[in-house]
Amino acid sequence: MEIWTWRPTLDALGELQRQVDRLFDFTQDVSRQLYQAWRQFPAFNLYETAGEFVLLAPMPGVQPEDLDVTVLGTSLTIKGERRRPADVPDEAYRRMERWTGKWSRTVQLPESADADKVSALLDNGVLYLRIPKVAEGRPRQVQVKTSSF
Amino acid sequence: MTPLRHWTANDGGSPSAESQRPASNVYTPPLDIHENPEGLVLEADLPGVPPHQLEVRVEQNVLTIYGKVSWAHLPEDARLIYEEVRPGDYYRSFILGDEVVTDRIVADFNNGVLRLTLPKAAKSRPRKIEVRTSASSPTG
Repeated sequence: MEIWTWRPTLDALGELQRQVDRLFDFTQDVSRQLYQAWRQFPAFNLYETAGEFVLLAPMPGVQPEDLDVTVLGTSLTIKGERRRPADVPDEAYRRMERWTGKWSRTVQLPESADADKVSALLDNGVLYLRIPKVAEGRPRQVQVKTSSF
Repeated sequence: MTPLRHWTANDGGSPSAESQRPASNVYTPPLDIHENPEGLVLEADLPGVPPHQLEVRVEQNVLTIYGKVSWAHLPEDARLIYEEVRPGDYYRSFILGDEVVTDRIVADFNNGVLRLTLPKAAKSRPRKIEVRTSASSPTG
């Protein structure tokens, strides 16, 4: 077994190192959060109820006319665009963190969706898509009877 | 324009109890800042924040943005099957330059995007200074 002699001078350096590490952790935390915010635009969540799927996707500043939603079988595609104000030249920007441009995302739904009945709502910059399941996909209550009937 | 609660250093206002509730996730909203002759324009993404749950506050020269997220149209019985975004509130705060007139900040909140107009004092605005050569000057 190896025994290390504790040397105060080296430990002071170690403490400095730890403090610098903490500072870097902090800055990395901020940049990681910013990165996550625009890593994949738009990010989405998928939920399920007995009769439908609900897709929730934050998309601040996207106008309804810039959105295109298509459902084909189990495949759902959302396409859209977000623009910066056209009258502001790039050199006027002091900070540019928000994601802009054209995007498209396709999601495979676990069960067939009823393409005709999809409803979309944009509220406070969040898109809610309600996609009803086709009848076969819905759970049905099966009555269980005993032989005495 | 969307009604916003906006405090300046002088009115003694304080954030509501809501804003002091500890949030499980707090995100740093991404923002763009651009400059025009009148001042600065800041745009921040705050999706899912209803206007009445957004607070923009100026205290001394510190601007604070706090937005509480509600996903209001999610059905009660919805079961999560795939997740990329976790619900969380937005918080960001920064120091404004001395040239910003804090009493005249205008806030607009639309479609999850907050737009703040930060006007600069007249003396800090760029002025065009006519440069004349001696040939064109009336005395020359």
